[in-house]
Amino acid sequence: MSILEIKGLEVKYITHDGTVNAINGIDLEVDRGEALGLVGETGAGKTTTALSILGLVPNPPGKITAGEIFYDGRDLLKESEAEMRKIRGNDISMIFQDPMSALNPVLTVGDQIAEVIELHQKCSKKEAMERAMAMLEKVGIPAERATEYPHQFSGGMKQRVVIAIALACTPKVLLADEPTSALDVTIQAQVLDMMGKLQHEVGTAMILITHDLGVVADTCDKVAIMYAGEIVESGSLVDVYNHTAHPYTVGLFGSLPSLDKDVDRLQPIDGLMPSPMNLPEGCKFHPRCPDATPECAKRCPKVTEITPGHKVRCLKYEGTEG
Amino acid sequence: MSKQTKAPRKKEKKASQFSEVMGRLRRNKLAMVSLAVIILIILAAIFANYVAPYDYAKQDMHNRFLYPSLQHLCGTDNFGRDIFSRIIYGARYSLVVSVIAVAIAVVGGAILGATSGYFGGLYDTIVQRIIDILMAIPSFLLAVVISASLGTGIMSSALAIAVGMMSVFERIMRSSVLQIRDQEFIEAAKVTGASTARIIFHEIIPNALSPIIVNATLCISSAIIAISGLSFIGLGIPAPTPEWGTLLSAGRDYIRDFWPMVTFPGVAIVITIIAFNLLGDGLRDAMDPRLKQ
Repeated sequence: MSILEIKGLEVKYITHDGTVNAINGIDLEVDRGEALGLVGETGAGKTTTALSILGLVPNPPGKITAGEIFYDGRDLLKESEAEMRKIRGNDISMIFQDPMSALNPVLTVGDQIAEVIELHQKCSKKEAMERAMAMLEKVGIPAERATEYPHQFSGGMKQRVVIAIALACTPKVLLADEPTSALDVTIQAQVLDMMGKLQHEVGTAMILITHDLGVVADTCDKVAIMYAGEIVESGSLVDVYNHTAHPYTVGLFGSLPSLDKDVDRLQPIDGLMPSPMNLPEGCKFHPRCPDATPECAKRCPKVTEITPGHKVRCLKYEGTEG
Repeated sequence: MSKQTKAPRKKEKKASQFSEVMGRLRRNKLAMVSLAVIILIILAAIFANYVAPYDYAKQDMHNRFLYPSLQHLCGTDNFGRDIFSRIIYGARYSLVVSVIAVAIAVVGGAILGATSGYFGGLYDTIVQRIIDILMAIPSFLLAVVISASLGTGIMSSALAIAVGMMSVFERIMRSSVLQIRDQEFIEAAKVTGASTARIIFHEIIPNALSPIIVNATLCISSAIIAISGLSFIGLGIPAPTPEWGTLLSAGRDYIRDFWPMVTFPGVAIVITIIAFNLLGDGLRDAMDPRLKQ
C-alpha cells in the first residue's frame, strides 16, 4: 500500500507579471520504505512538489489549485495548519539542498536535533538531548560534538547533521531536495550511502529530488522524470533506464557522458525549457522534441501505461497500452 | 566511519558565542578599561552606603561652599552637603533609570520589530507608520511631553525616555529579521513542525541579537543624558534626590561663583557616558563577524 499518493496536483504562482504554472497535474505514488527519484531540470517543479506535500508552498504568491495529496489515507491539503505542524518533522520531513544555510548558526547542533524530538515526542529536555546524541552517532559524528556550533563542522558533516534532524523522529516519508548537490563528489558518495543505509534501517519512504541520473540509479527503486511541471515518464529503474520511452528522457540520457562509450560530442537537447509563465500549447516538450508531429502542438498527450508500472506522457505511445 | 570524524579536534573547550565575543573584547584595551570603570560605578552605586563618606542629605550650614579637600573630595554645596557622596548616591538613580528605560525600549522594540518584520503586510505597514511618527518627533521633546503628562518619578521618567528610544530598536530588529526570515534554516525549522512563535523567538531573535546588544550599551549613555536633561529642567526625578541632572541643575545658579557644584556631577556624567560608548564600540567590533581573526 502506498504511504504517499499525489493525484492531479496543480500549483500556480500568481504574480503581478503573470501566472507561473509551476506544476500542471502530476500523479505520484510512493510505497512504504521505497525510494523514488524525482529528476528534472531547474524549474521543472521538483522543489514545489516537495513543498506542496509539506503544505509550505509560499502563499501568496503560490496556490495549490487542484489535486489531492494522500498521506496514509489522509488528504494533506485538507488538514489544518496545526495538524500539518504535527505531521511535519514527525511523519514527513525534508532535507535541504544547502547544509551551509539549513542550520541555525547560533544554536548548537545538539540543540537543533533535540528541538525536533522535543516538539514531536513527549519527552524531557534531557532525554531529547540524549536521543539527539544517539542520532549524531548514527550519522557518523561523535556524540560529544553535540555542543558545537554549525560553523565548527565541515560541509559534509553539516549535511549529516541535517539528515540527523530529518530522521530524528523516524518519519514515514523523507523528502530529500538535492541533498548532495552542494557537496563534492567523494563526500556525496558517503552521504548517499549513509542515507540509503538509514532509510532502510528506519523503513522510511524517500523522494529524492535531483538532476543527477547517476545518483538516482544508485539509490532509488523508482524514477519519475519531470518536465515543465509534468511527469513525462515514470517507472522502475529498469523501465526508465533500459527501456527509455519518452523523447525527453532519451535526450537526458543522450546528454550524459558515458564511461564506456566513446563519443566526440554529447547530444544536448535543443532549445531551452519553456518559461512556466508561457507554456506551449499541446505537449509541453514538442518545440524541442526530435519526434514531434503537427499533432503534438494541438493536443496534450495523456498518460499511457506502456508496460505495467511504466507510464509515459507522449502521443507516440498513446493507444499502445501494454 | 569517515576520515573527518576521526580527525583530531583542535579545540577541546567548547567555544560558546559568549566566550568567543569576550575573548575578542579582552584584546581591546580601551573597552576593557571602560568595562572596569562601568563595573566600578555600578559597585559604587550598589554599595553607596559604604562608599559614600557622608549622608547625601545631611546639611551642614557651617560648611557651605567648601572647595575640594581631603575631608570633602568634591567640596560641599549650597547646603553644606558633601558633593562626592551625592554623586555616588546619584549614580543609583541615573543608572537604574537608564537601565530600566533601555530595557523597556529593547523588549518593546524587539518584539514589535520582530513581529512586523516576520509577518509583513498590513500589520507591518501600521507599525512602521506609527514608528515613523515617533521618529519624526525629536526624542527629547517626546520625553518631555510624556514626562510632563505622567508626572515625575523613576518609572515615569524611564518610560518617557524608552518610548523615544524604542523606534531605534524596532528598526534594527525589523531589518535583521527581514534578512534572516528568508534564510533556509527558517524554512528548515518550519519543516520540522515548529510553530510561528517558536520560529520568531527561538530561531530568529537569537540571530538578530548582537546589533541590539551593541546599540543597548550605546543607548544607556544617551538615556543617562536624557534623564539628566529631564531632571535638569525639573521633569525627571524631583530635587532632593541626588540624580546627576538634578545636581547639575542645582549648581547652575552658582556656576560663576562656585565651580565644584556643576563640574563634578558633569564630570561624573561625562565619564560614565564615555565608558558606555567605548564599551559599546568595543562590543560592536567584537561581535562583528567580519573582524573575526
